[in-house]
Amino acid sequence: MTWTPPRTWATNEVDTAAFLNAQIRDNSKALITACRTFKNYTSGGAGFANGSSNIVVWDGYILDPLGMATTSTRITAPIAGWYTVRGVACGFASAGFTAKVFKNGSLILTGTTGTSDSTVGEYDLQLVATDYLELVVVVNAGAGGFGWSPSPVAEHSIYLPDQAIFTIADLKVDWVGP
Amino acid sequence: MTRVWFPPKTWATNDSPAAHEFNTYVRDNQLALVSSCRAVYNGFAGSFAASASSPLVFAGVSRDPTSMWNAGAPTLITAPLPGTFSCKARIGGSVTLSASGQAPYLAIRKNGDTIIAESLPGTGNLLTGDVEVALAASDYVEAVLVTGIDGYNESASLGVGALIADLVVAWVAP
Repeated sequence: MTWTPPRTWATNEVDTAAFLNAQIRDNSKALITACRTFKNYTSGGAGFANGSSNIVVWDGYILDPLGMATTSTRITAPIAGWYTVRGVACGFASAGFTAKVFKNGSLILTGTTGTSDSTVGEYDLQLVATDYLELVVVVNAGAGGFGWSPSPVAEHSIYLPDQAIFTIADLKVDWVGP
Repeated sequence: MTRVWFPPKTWATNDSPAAHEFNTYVRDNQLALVSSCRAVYNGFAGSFAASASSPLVFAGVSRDPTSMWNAGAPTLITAPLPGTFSCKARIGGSVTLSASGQAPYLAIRKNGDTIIAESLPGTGNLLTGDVEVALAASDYVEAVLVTGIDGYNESASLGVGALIADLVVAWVAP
């Protein structure tokens, strides 16, 4: 799928299906390209070891109209363009931890470092179709290890009444434009 | 040509849309929805004088499908249609404060004087919030570094590639 610059129609023009599919169907899809994955309150469970780098495994997604959550760890761009990206992880690690965003397996964004929460972004990234993003939690070396917080930091939390969950980590990716 | 957002039309059975309707309800509304500009500069590190309000001079854009920025007025991002726009700016750098402790801050101004967002004063990287503001077509915004009695030195980067500063303005809704 691609974004096509909006066309100026001429009087008495005969529109083909291809035109309408490109101009209306595909461009409309581009405009709603967004994904937000989450890890929820009840799935905290096991932590991470000191000095380790860990790809976050998502429990699900809050919105994903175009199927960008292609695996349990990846958000994949379905269309080329600029995307805004933000990631959050809430946990506890006395030695500190940092959330990072990886693109196609390589580090591209580094978040704040903290002992209870870490935020990446919000940044703009240019992606091509099939590029994928992952959230990685890097735990500093030292005592204590990392555990998912049973009390996520309020300003980073989202409560979903229908599912009765709080997020303890999420990755948000929105298409902005070509 | 000044553009506007048109409330989406409800089509009737057997409607035969005319060209001007496609241009209005498809072309113009799609262009409104992607009206988003990110002006950037990177690749060098300079300094800002003390006791001054200095608009950031952007070197280019990383995206601008509706031509909101032009090289002839490199400090400005101009609204191509009326509506509510989200605006945010950031700059990377540092300052060593004298005894007065007057830290600089970053502001976003509308039409040259009205401040619509400010960062906290600081000695390092400065980041405004993401503020939503109503703009008319041809209204413009700019990012301005406001220094006290100490100057401010740009950093080699903000930590995202070689980026030193950016200003993002995006149409949100009519």
